[in-house]
Amino acid sequence: MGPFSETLNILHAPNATGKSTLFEALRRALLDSHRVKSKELEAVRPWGRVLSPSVTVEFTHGGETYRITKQFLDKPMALLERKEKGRFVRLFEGHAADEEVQRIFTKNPSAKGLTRFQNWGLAQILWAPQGDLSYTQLTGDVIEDIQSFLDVQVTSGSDEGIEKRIEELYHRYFTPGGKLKSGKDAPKLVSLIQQLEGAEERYKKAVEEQAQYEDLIKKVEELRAKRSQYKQNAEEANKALETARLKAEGYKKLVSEKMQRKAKLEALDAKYLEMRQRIDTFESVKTELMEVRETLSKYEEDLPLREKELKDRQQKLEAAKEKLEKVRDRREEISKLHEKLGNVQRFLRNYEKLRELSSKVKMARKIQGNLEGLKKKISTLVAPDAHVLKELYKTRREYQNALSYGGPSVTVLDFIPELEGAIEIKRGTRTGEFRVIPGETITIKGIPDIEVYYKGVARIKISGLSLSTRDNEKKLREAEKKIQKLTKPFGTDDMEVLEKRREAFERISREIFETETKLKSLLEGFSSLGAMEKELLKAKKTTESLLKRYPEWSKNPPNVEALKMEVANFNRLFSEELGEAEAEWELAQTAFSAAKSALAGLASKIEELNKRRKNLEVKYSEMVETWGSFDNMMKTFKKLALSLETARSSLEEIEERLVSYGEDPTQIIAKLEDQLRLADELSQKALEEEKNMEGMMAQLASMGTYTQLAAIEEERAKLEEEIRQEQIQVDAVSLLYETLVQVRSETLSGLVGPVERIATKTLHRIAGGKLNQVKLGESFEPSHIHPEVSETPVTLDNVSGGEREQIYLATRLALAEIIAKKERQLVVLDDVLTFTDAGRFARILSVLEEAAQKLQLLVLTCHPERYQGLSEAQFIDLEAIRFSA
Amino acid sequence: MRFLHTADWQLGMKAVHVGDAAETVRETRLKTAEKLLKVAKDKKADFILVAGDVFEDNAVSRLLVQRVADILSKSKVPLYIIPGNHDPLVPGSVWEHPAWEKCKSVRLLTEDAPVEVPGGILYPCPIKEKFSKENPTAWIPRETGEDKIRIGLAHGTVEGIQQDEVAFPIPKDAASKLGLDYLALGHWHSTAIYEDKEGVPRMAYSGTHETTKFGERDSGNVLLVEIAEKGATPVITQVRISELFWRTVEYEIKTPGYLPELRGRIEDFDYSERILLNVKLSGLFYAEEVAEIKRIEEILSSRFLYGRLDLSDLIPAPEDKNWIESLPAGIIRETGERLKGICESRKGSQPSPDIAARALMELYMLVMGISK
Repeated sequence: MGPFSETLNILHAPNATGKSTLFEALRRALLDSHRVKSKELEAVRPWGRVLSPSVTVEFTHGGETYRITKQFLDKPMALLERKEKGRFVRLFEGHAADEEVQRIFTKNPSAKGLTRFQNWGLAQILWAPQGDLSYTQLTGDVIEDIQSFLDVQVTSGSDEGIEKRIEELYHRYFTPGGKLKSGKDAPKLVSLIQQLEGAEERYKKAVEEQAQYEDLIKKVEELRAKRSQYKQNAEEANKALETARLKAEGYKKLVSEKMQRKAKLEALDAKYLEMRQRIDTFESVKTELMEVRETLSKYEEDLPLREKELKDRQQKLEAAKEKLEKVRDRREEISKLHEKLGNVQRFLRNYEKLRELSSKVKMARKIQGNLEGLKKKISTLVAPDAHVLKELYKTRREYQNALSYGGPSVTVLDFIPELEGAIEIKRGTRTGEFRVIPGETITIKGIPDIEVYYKGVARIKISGLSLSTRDNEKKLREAEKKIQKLTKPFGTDDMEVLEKRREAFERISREIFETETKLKSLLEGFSSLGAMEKELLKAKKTTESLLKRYPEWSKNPPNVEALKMEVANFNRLFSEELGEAEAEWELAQTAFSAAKSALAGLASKIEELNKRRKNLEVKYSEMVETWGSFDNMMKTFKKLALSLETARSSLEEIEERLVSYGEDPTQIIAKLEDQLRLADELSQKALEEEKNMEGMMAQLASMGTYTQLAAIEEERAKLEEEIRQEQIQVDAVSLLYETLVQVRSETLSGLVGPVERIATKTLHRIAGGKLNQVKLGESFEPSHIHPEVSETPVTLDNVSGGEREQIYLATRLALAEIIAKKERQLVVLDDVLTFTDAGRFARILSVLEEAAQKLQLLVLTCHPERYQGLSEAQFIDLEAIRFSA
Repeated sequence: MRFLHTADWQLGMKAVHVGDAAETVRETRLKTAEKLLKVAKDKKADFILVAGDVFEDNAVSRLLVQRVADILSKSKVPLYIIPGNHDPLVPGSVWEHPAWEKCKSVRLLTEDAPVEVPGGILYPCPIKEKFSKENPTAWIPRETGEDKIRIGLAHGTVEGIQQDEVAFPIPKDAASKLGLDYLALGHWHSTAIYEDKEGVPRMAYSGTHETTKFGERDSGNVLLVEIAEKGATPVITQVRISELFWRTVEYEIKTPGYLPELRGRIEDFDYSERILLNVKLSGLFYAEEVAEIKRIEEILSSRFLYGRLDLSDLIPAPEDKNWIESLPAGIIRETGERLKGICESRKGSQPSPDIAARALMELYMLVMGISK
């Protein structure tokens, strides 16, 4: 295809029509060796065909037009031609052709295999592969080229040598990443630090051991001090024990003396108490005897009075008893009155009963007569009972059914006369003459035949169908027989007659039932009329008997209420009198009992006091006999009291002496012995511990912990000094290198500046001033932007995908512009700017148009419509070319 | 009465910051102690007083203890030793080692009790703990009226010596107050003699017999003390006994061309194998003298028992920028200028000026093709 426009070329085609293959072909032709083999090249071979990929590219360089033709894989070839006088002349072939073309396009061709990005030369900037405007680091040859285009001399030849030596010196100590080297290439500092770390470990251990030794010394000293203290304690305890033992001797003697005195005191005290008791007893007996005698005398005076009182009470009791008996005797009168009252009540009840029974008997006899008449009447009436009647109806239905289904069929004639007259039914279910009235239908049934004679008009005969069978006939006959059997006792099979009889029978039966019920009700309480008549007779006899006793009642019936009142009054009076008499009697009886009891009690007391008096008199006599007199007894008692007081003082005196000892010395001895034992034990324990510690200490001492520590400290110090020296060296080298790098970086940033300015300007045109400033790295890659809103530059990670591709486009175009200062350069953009919005894209078109004044732009796209705004651009439809091919 | 007064042998001490010379330093201390015995004999001393800290620590190697006992047992002059605060009489101390039982020439003084010595009475003040604020001489009875020379032997700090916390304080006038003819002291490593009100020297630190570190004022001596009779003025003779010399040389470089002179002086040191030399250079550094510095470093490490060259206080001379200016304009010259700028910045700033000086030196060597 071609020739391409010197300015803008839009190569468009849908997806998968070879746009990127075109870009690849360009690279293969201009950068790859024709002999190269790789899977990527194999992939270019058309599917299912054995065609070898081949490409021919015409290009201008240094004012000359060249043509390179290459075939890859099978029969590889390369041919470089130059246009001379309007036609291409063979210039180089094969490898030489490859080299010549590579020389034009890159300083760093691939030694072997397909070219990679680093082999692209200026195409690293000028050519953007599919969808990817970004690049990370341009190679040195490209940077050098850019620098040369910028006409800047960064270093002199001699500087380069020194720089190299500084770098070598730096890399003797540091890795490219700036870390101190490790492993076999590590500087001495590293091994020194490692040695120091080892020494530190040993130092720590030595310090610990030394501290342990020091600690043990302190512990042993403490233990010795403790042991000494325990020993001192033991000695003090021993001394105290000795003193305590001496004290204990005296104390024991005193305790023994105290016991003796105490025993003596107790014995005297017992005697004293006994004596005191006897004196008390003596006094008590004496007093009691006097009291008993006085009381006895008084009681003996009271005795005759009590006896007289008893006698009076007895007389009063007898009088009350007599009065009571008299009142009680009036009870008979009450009984009689009650009997009479009972008889009056019985008479009156009987009289009433008699009257009632007489009436009932009379009525019952009349009902009895009626009942007998009804029974006689019903006995003459022959009527079917309900069961028979029911059975008869049932049998008749069966008969009718037999007739309907098996016997002669029923023929029905509706006779509707128009004239008044008479007809005679000769044959039919009902026969006889019947009067007919015009319009009134007479229904005539026949089984099966009907014969009607209408006098003067017609004789009508109707023959019905007979479908009888043997079975039906049998059923019919059985029904007839049963009907006959059922109706035979009644002399007729007329159901109406039988129904009437039945109704008469039931009516009489009901009357009988009602009459019987009435009689039964009248005879209530009696089994029969006879029994009632018997009761009537009995009542008559009772009445007669009472009237015989009380004949006056026959004329004047007794007044039961008056009699009741009389009885009540009599009862009330009697009760009052009886109560009064009984109360008097009870009072008299109580008084008598009390007097009797008082007399008995007095007698008993006198008897008892007499006994006590005798006893006391015996006791008193005995005491007098023993002690002589009471005064004698008191004398003896006083002597005893004196002795007791003396003994108590003696005991108190010894107790005071014991109190002066304070705690019981024997107990103190026990305590001191315990203390002594404890001190010995603790001393022994401390000694054991001390020996143990001394053993440990001796072990550490034998190690010479300080000597070890000294040796390690010296080693540490030596290492630290060496490290210090080495560190200075390392730091110095690091500082030298870092200063160099910084200076170089700053120098380079002077180169980057113009590119940054152009790229920033372009970016402003595309995206406005928001992103402000593009910052490039040393190798001219966009590293940061410095937005207006940010104080410090930010990395490209902080911008959107669209902005990132715009930054790269601006940078590529800026670099391309610089590169193109000497010669127009081809810029290839393969399907880029996919994230850019329509507004910015429109501005990019202006940028591209402007760039096309200095550059030849080849844009590969599947969206040609996006580039329609480029009026000067040449649009090439790859698909059309393919089809035409 | 004639005796040698010594103290603070600190046997078995660590000698940090002297690198590989540490073992020699340690061993020499022992040899010097042995030498001291010979001095005592030669000076016809009646006895030797050791005022504490024979050992650096109670936990020194028991082999060392045995060696010391063996050496001292050969002494023809009896030794009276008190434990000091470094080797106090505590459980498990070096003094419990069985070697001392057979060491008849040594009288270890463990109690605050007077001891008869040839020609007088010795009042020892043994130390029984590492630290105390109590005066160890407090127990010594004042004048007893006896006609014998009274000597005190103690380990502590004479009042007036600057110390954060004064350990074992001893009054300045302890000797005269206690009526001692002489109070032999230990604890401080430099020799110091104290006179009483009448100007009579009755109290002294002998100092350590062998210098222990750089900076000690007057160590490496032993005192020969002669007292004619009770109350007589002691005649104290300071005897140099140290085998090693701890020297600190501090030079300030003000002009170029000074270093060769310094090198010459260093090269002229006698007995350099017995010298521990600490050279501290300050002032101005001239790049062209890098090679001289390297030479001095070589001499120090090859000839001396221990040599150290401290360049941390050197700063590149401001006027010394010819070599930088002679570089072609470009990155390297700019690098040199910047490093020089850092060198001239204030000490303590970052990056460190001394590191920058070293870096500049490295750059100079690279530029000049000087190999290390």
